[in-house]
Amino acid sequence: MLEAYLPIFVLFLFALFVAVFVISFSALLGPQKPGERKLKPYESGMEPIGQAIRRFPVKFHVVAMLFILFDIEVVFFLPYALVFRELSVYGLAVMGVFFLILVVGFVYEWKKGALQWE
Amino acid sequence: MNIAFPDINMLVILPLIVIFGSALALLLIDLFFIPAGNKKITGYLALAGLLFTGLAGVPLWGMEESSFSGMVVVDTFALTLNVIFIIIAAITIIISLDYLPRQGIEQGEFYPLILFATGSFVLLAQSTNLILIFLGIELLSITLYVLTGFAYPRLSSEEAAMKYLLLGAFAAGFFVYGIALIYGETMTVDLNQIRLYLTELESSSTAAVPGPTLLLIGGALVLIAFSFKIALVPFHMWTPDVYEGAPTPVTAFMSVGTKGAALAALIRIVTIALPTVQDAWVPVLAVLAAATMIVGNVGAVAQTNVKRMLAYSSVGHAGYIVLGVVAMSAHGIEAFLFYLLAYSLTNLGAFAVIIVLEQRGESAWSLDDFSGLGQRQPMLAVAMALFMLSLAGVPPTAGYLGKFFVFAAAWESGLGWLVLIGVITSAIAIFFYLRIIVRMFMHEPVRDVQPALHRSITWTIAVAAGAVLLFGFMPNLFIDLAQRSVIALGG
Repeated sequence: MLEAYLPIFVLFLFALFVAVFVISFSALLGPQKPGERKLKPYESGMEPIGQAIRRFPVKFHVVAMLFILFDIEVVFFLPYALVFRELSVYGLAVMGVFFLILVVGFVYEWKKGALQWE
Repeated sequence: MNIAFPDINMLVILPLIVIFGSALALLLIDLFFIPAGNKKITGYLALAGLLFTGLAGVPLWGMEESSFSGMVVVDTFALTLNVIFIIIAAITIIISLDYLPRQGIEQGEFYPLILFATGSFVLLAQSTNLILIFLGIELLSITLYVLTGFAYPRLSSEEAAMKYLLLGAFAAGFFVYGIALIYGETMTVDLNQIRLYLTELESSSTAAVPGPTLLLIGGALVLIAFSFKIALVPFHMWTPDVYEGAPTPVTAFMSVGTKGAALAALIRIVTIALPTVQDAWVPVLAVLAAATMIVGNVGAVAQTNVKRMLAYSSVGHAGYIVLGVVAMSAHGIEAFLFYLLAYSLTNLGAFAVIIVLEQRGESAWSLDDFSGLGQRQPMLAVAMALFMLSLAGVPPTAGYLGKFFVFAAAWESGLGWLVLIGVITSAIAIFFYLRIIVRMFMHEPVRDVQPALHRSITWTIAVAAGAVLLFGFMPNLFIDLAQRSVIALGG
């Protein structure tokens, strides 16, 4: 039973070896020229040091809400995609109603100007 | 073409379909067709939606059926509550029609939101499944968070919405954790299945088999979440601040509708799922009710802000209503229904009077604004006095009979000490209700408050006052309905 896991164990050892090998040898042999950008945790993105509480455009919360709308939609549509043959027309009708309710929310957002960035 | 329809009786959710359908339609109609500044039309359309919801209940009358694998049920209990909820929502909308433009916060979304909240009440009255009850509670909470903050940019309204949101989210966490523990014990979220599990456990119970510990812990967590929504002490801390900050019609709506809907769901849980473990939860709920009656009524004594005083008084009334649940008898449920109706009419009427006196920019919530109202607006003062007497429980008002019924039910169930506390706190309550009456009739006017008496709100106050008296003299008009509801519950 346990020997079935042997390849995984070998892979684990191999990964460990590669990681240790690469990091230690590049630290020993590589040239060391640290700069401001190189020492940052992420090369791009937000400034990592600064005030914890700062202003950011409130527009982002609309994006977050839009995301939830479509996220929920996907969450419900994926399982439906798996069984839609068995559910046939009835399933289609039910999903249609579900979609209609979502669209109402979307139309509301659109008409209220939530999609206009500027 | 062969369309295989599963065995689902859609009639059971007809009221839900109608109210949520009209809420969605209203949202779009308001968006595209109703011009800004004329949002009263949306309000009238919302009233039509409520009317249709009420009519949807007519063909279901007398029906007793569950559907969607026992998740939703329709019975007289649910339909009776629906009628009460529709009355509450209709009064709320009518008293908002003039209030919103006067306060400069008129927006079309107000009315669909009220419909969504009412839909969640209907859902709570009809569900027999913990997940569905959670859905109802969440829908109710989210719409009320928005409605509480509707007086944006008034700071107190924003503050109230924020407080309500943070504490409400916390309560939702308790509810979900409670459901998880109950599921862990019973492997189901269906109330009837939980009852079956408990009866089986009881019959096979020996000294070696422990009791349903996880279920009791989970039940306690669910009870905490409900106590938060109903505002039972010690989970009432948010109530005065939120009730004071929210726009007054929303306060009126929350103070009666939320309590009724949450208690309806709680009644379903305790009567369907937990009657076999009564010994565990009845004392807990009894102590909560006692604490609520004491803190709510004693807290109200110290208030000089009338809106805040009514908030504390609504906490106290939550305690009285819970007596009907604690009694765990047919009379208790009847008393709950009657008390809910009486309290809804009275409280909505009292808040309508406050709305009439409320001016833009300054709040007519201090006791001084009521001084001398009896000279300037005798009819309004008489109506307010009637509502105060009904809240205090003075005959011949509906509030008196409501109190009498819950006390009688609790007494029959052997909760004499609870009745004693109830009577003593009612006596305390008379002090602060009478204070307003004394101000109105025996003091000279302090400030010049121009009451905004529009026709719609005047009629609402008159009808509410009339109903309070009517049910005070002829309670049998409603009691028959309540008795049939109890039979439907199997109580």
